[in-house]
Amino acid sequence: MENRREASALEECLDRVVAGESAAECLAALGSEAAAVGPLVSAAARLQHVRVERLSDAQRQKAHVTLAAAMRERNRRAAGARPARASFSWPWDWQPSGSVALAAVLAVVLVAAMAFTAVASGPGGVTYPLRVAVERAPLMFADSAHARVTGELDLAGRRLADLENYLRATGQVEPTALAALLAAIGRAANETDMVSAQEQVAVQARIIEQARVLAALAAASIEPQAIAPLQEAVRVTSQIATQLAAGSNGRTQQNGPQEPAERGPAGGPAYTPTCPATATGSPTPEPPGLTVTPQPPAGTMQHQTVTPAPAASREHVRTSEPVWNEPTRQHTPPAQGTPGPMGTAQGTPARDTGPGGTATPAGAVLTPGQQATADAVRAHGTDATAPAPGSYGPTGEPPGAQDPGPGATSAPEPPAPGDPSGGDGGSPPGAGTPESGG
Amino acid sequence: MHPPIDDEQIVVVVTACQRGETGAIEQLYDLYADRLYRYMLTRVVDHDLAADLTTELFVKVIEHAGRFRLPPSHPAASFSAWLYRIAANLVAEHFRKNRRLAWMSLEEQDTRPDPATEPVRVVEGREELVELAQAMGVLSEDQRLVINARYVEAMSNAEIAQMLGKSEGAIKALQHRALRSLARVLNRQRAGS
Repeated sequence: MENRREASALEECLDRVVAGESAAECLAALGSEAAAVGPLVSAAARLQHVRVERLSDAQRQKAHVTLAAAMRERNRRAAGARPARASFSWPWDWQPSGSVALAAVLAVVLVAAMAFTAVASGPGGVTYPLRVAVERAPLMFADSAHARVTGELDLAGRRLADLENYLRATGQVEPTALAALLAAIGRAANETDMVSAQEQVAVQARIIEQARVLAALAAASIEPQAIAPLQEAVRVTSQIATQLAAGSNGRTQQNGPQEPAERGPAGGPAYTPTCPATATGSPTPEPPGLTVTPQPPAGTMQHQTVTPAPAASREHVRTSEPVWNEPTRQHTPPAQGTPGPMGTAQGTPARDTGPGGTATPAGAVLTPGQQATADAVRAHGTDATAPAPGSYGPTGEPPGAQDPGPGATSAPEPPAPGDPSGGDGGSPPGAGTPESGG
Repeated sequence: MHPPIDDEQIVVVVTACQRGETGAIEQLYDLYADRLYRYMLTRVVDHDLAADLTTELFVKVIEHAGRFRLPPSHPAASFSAWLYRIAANLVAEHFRKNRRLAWMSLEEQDTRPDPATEPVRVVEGREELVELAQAMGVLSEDQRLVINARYVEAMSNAEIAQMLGKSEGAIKALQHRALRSLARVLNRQRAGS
């Protein structure tokens, strides 16, 4: 308002309008301020026309019916919801709110979906590392050393199978699978101190078997990027097996000489199950855990079935199937007192036979001749670069990143014809007689 | 125009409504329906639509009564303010849904009244209501509430201040600004016609 008088006049006039007077009557009573406040009073007076509007009885009746139905519906919903809540009670005192329970359910569903996705993923997939982690999760709850060791070796078998499948498909090494494989083997080896001597033999046999499969894969590979890490993996696995043999032998011999870890042959050990399947189930004076032998004499290498293909045949394979030389695999029946085929990739890790299979069975007992062989292994079977006993191998780093070192046990180059051993340090463990076609 | 609603009465009725008593919601409807209907009418012009929106408003009251907390001081004013907020939201939602202007042209209006639901109409012509609704449409929500409460429902400035949680001075200022805007639009309409 322009001034106090006008404001006062407007207030008075508006009050009179609200009280029921018309705008004209109010404005007539005003003096000079009427012109200024006139439009406002008129607007207020026009609103008075709406004051008399009201709902009809029919509209009210209709609304009552609608509201009664709405109230019944609301009460019915409330009555239905209450028993549903009351029927479920948590088995503990703390009762989570609805949002907490919903969040928990969502979290479980999310984790389950992630786990399912991970388990369904294959090597090389984005979620494959998650699958590796998920598959190992149950081992964290294993309460015995035996369960942990067995579980780790089973996991190593799965990773080896993944590795082989990926290698077959792409010709490349899946680094996650290889790292997980070596880590599992290393963990299993580290736990062997806490299991019985017979179980140690079984562990050692399975590790040897896996080393043999790795050697076969390395031998069958064509791509240099795949061969190098596989050879390194063979070397690491061989070291672990050698140290296991040395450790278990030393423990079982009681007073026997302890094998220094620093000693080892330049070409690395070759692993062959040499013991017949004569599991006794009881300790014997003979060192039962020893299964690692040096390269057999040339005459015995005819048993070895996984070898790099000769240069000519390899070239042929390279043109026809560039990523993979199919290794010859022979399944050996369970040991019947004679050693099985040496150097054969006997089954994929999925078919890992474990204790009592084609590898050295648990509780195997060495003959005196085998004992001599074992001693020779201890004399040469440990690589100079091998880690000290008790700290077996890498547990996470892909071996391809490491220098193979002097202990490399296999080489991509095929052995010279007539030299079934493949040369010093050039043959994968167990590699021997070349086979055509690879 | 209705007499002011007593605080004690509103506490009893609202509490009963929260318990789910059908009689309570009908009582609340009888207490507030005409006021809210008039508010709706000044926004949507159409009588039937205003009546339907008023009913819908009380359905929402049924659904959300449990959330309303009666304050110890001025519970009736608080409940009134809550109802007017629901009303404003319903009208806004109605305009959003129908993409209709608040001031529909007279030609678009259905001029055939339903005798069964025909409300008591004292407003001389629909044209007057359309012009008022058009003018109300230019106001802010607070201004509309103040104008409606003061000049349609004849509430005192003190009651309006209580309902909106503002001072009486603020209510007067809102009134004056709103009246100026209303007068401007109404004069323009008159000059145009």
